[in-house]
Amino acid sequence: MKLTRRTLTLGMAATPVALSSTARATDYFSLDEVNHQLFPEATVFEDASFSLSKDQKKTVSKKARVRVRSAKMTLFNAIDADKLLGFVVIDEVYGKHEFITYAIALTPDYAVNQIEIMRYLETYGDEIRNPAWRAQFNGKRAGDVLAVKKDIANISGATLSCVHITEGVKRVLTTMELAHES
Amino acid sequence: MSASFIKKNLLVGVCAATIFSTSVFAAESLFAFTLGVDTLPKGQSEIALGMAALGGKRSGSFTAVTFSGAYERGVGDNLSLTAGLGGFYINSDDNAFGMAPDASGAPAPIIPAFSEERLSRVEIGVQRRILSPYTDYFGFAVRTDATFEWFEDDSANTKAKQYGIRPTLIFQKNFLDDTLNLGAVVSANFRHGCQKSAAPTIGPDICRNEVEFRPSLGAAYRFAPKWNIGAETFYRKKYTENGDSPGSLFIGPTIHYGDKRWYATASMFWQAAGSSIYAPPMSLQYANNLTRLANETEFRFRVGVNL
Repeated sequence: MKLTRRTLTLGMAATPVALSSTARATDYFSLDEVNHQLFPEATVFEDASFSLSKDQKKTVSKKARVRVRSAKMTLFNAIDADKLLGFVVIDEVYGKHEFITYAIALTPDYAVNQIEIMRYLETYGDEIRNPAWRAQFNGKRAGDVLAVKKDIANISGATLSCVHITEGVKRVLTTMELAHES
Repeated sequence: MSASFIKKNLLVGVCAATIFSTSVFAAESLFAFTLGVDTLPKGQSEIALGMAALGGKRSGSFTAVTFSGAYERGVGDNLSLTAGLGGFYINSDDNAFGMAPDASGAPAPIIPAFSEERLSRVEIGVQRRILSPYTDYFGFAVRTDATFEWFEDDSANTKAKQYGIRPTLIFQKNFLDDTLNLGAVVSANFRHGCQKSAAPTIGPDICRNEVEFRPSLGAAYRFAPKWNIGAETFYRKKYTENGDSPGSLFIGPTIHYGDKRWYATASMFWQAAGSSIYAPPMSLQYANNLTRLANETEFRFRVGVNL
C-alpha cells in the first residue's frame, strides 16, 4: 500500500488544530464567586494576604514535608457584622501541564471547612471536583497525616492532581498554623 | 554485488529500522523513546502520529522518513492497549551508500535513483503500570508490543515478512513537584523474518532470527506551563545468528508541549559513538546484516490528541 507524503503531512498538521478548537470549559469559580460559595453568609471578604519570610518557608517546608514554591499567601477573612466566620485561602499547585487553582475555607480555629476547585486545565483528572473526594478534607488540621492512600483516597486517573492538592492543603494548614503562632 | 541487491537491502534496512526505532504508542510522553509509566485512565483514548527523519549518510542524496500512527485506550485503572500502523518513505539519488571499492579494485556501484513510500507494518501493544511515580518511591511499568511487518520489492522481485515481540521495562522518578522527570527504559526486540523470491525467479527462503536491545535514558524539566525541555540518549545494538552488529549511541535534546487536548514532542539525535563512524565499509555490513541502518542523525516528531 502506498501513501503520499502530502497526505501524511496534511493529516499531522490538521489533527491538533481541529481538535483543540473543541477544548472544554475549565474555569469553575471567579474569586468573588468562590468566596460567596464558601461563606454565603459573609458580607465582607477582607484581604489579609501575606508573604512568608525565607526562614518561614523553610519551617513550613520542613514541618509539612512539602515544597513551598511561593512565599505569597492569598488570604481573605470572611466577616459578617464584625464577626469572623473563617478564612478563604486561594492556592495553586502543579497539574501535569498547568497550575490547578483551588480555594480552601478554614474555620476560625484553622480546620478545613470546605475546598473548591476554581480552575482545572488538565486533560484528565477533573474527578477531583467530585464533592465526596473534596469532603475528605473537611475537619483536617495541620497535624493530620494528609497523604494520598493514607487518610485521603486516590482517584485512579487523577493521581497527580490528588497528590498535589493534598500536599497543597497540608502546606496551607501548616502555613496558617505558623502564622497564628507568630 | 548488484545495485538491485543493494537497493533491496537498503529498503529492507529502512523497513526494519522502522520497527526498531519506533515504539507505536499514543499516550503523552516527554521523550521519543523513553516512555512514561502512566497509562491512560480507563475509558479514555488518544491517537498519535509520529515521524522520524533519518539522515547523515556518507555520500549522495539520501532521505528516509519513517512514520507511524497509533490509537491507545485505557482499559483498566493501570492498563492501556495500543494498536498502530507504520511505514516509510525513502529517496535515494546517485548514492554509493558509503561503499568501498571491492577487492578487485572496481569502483563502488552506484544505486540507481529511486523513491519508495510504503505502509509496512502493524503493531499492537499493552502497558501495565505497577508503581506510580506520584505515590510510590518511583514509577514502574511493563509493556509488550507485537509487530508484523511486510515488504515487497518489485525491482528485486522479493517479498519479506517479519514478526517481532518487544518486552519493555519502564522506570520513572519525579522530583520538584513532578516538574523534573527522569526516565529509563530497557527493551529487547525479538524478531523472526523470512525473505522469499517471487515468481519467476523462485529461490530458497532466507530466514533469520535476531534481537535488538535498546536502553534509553531521558531527563526533562517543565520550565513553563505546558512546556518541557530535556535531553535523551539511547543505545542500539543487535545480535543475529551471524554475530552482533556494531552498537550505536545517540544523544540529543527534546522539547515537549502539552495542552489539555493535544501534545507534541520533537527530538533531535546525533550519533555520539557507534557503527557508522567506526564500522568497516557498509557493503560488508549489508551483506551480512540486512537490517542495519547506520544513520548518524535522527529527527523525531510526534503529535497526539486525546479523544
